[in-house]
Amino acid sequence: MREQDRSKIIGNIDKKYIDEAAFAFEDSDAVPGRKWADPKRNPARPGWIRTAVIVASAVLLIAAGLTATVIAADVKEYNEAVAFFADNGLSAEGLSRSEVKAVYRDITEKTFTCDKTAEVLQKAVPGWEIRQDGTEFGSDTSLPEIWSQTDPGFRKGVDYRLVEQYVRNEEYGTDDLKSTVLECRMDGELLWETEFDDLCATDYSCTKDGIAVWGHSGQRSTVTSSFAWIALVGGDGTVKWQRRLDHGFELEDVAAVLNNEDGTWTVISRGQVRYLCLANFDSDGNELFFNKTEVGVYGIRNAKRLGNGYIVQLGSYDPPEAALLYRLDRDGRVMETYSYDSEDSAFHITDMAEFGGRVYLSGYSVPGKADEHSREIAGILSKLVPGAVTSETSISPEVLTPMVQDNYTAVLLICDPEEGTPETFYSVKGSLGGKLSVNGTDKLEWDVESIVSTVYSPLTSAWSIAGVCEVFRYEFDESRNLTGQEKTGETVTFAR
Amino acid sequence: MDDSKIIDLLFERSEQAIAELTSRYGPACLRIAEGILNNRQDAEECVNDAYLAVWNTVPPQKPDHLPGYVFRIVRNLALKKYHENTALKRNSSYDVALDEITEFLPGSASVEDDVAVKEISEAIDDFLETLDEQSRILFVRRYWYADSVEELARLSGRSGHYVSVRLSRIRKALKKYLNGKGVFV
Repeated sequence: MREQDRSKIIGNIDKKYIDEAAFAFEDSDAVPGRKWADPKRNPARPGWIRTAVIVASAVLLIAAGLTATVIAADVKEYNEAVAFFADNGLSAEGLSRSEVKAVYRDITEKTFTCDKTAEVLQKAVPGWEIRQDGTEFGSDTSLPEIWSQTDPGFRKGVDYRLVEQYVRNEEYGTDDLKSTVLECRMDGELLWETEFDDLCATDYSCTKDGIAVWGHSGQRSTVTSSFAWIALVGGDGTVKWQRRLDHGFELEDVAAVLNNEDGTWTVISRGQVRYLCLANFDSDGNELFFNKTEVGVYGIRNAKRLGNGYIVQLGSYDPPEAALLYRLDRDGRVMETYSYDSEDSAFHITDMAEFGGRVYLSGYSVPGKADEHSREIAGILSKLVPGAVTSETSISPEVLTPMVQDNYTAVLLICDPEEGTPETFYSVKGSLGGKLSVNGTDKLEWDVESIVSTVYSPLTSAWSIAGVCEVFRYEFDESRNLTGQEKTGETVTFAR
Repeated sequence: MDDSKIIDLLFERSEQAIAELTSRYGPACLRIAEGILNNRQDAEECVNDAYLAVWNTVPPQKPDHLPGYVFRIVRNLALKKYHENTALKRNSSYDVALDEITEFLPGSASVEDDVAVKEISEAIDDFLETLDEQSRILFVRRYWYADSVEELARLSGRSGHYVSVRLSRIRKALKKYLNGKGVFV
């Protein structure tokens, strides 16, 4: 269908709908605008209907011969049932008051008299808590020793690193970016390096078909436009191809370059701050197609292949959003979006992977909502320091660490790839969910960072609470079963 | 000044009518044109042309809903300019909206004549009738008025994510509806 035909079809929409939408949001200088009501809230019913319902209920109860005592007991049991549902993540949607009580009795008395009980249980998401009882907490490495480790060094075997080279600008007294160098080392010894002149490489990813590198033009400012670029580097450091992206944006940031393992590559990027973009390239770096979707002001935190399409995590700090996923088809069209949250806690996704036909989301949950500064530790800080912070304010690690551990729960959600609905989960208290990867025996490994010690430093600009986490690794098979666990001996820092 | 008085001024051939039109609907007209053309100068020119078209057509026309009438003229003129200017570096919210429209009006489908165009438009009208008011307004503002997702979020007081998801679901439902009606068979 031609573009003109699409325009014509849309242009023919009945004028009554055009007129309805014309006044939906009027500029304030014409007619005061109105904000839409939250669709979850039911519109207030007229007062006379509400009164009639209350009267009718009272009449029914009295007519049934119930005494005041029985009514009070009924209310008490119903309140207990509602609390039980909430505590256990059960949904009471569609259930009458008596059905809620009946299901509650069935579950607590382990009977099945109500035909709604099975339905309620089926809707609940079962999960497992992985206990770390008996594990000795506390690190042998002191906090000052952890902070002094500014360079973790190269890993054994083949490892890569991006190094920025600067040149002194004597006129302005600044250090200007000259180039970025991709280094390849074996056990720390340099094998080769590839230089990208006047370009800033922000990240890379190693695949069996080469190392994809991406970034943006060297200098960025509010008065000059910049461009994004991608390159494919061979195993010997040779640049196979390098491309500048030109999608019509003044600002474009590449978030991921994914190997489709069919000779093509997919670039996920953010255009002009508010567009989620997908571009597809062939094995010679020629762009095959491009698609963009306006999603609003979000950063792209992660992107992975999912079946024949992709899953992309978006995030923002204001308002705080750390568990928003978009499922894209092969052409970059948005098929579905998922957001994971609950009324009394926030879920932060840190990594995701497709495994065994399911989507695994690693992250952590924090009780309550972030404060206006999007701080996860808002709840802890309000308890620790109710008054003004001074240089005399100090909290001992013995008091602080259990509070921080209570604040975090690592969560691994295992979700249906089509609907995004969680099917099951694993959780570890006092921890944060980390990286996901598939190991050499085709098992999924989930790194969990368990908080072992913390320190409070209100006058440090970069963080207020920081500490050390010990890394535990849990292994899963394709049937979602936990098949192994180990304490790796690795530590990572924690800072909020 | 309400719409009926502006129409009266047009019938009296008073230039005050254009001043009132500009004051009342100028920003909205500019937003529609800019959403399609992505260029302020072109959009202003288009809006001025639209005022002239209103002056030349009222009378004898007497629109029963003046803003809708004006917005339609602005949109048609903007689209004409959009299609004429093939060299235009496109990045307007209208481009993005057109891409989204392919989800329910796919490129592979063919439309042979104006009768077929009318049939599809009527099917879309029938679908819109089944939607709740908010969804219908979002759809029309996005694809007829070419409002950006960000603008819709700002105007409705909802998040960009909410608007984006809602529109995605409407497009999917419309595609299913049109397929069910055999529109593209």
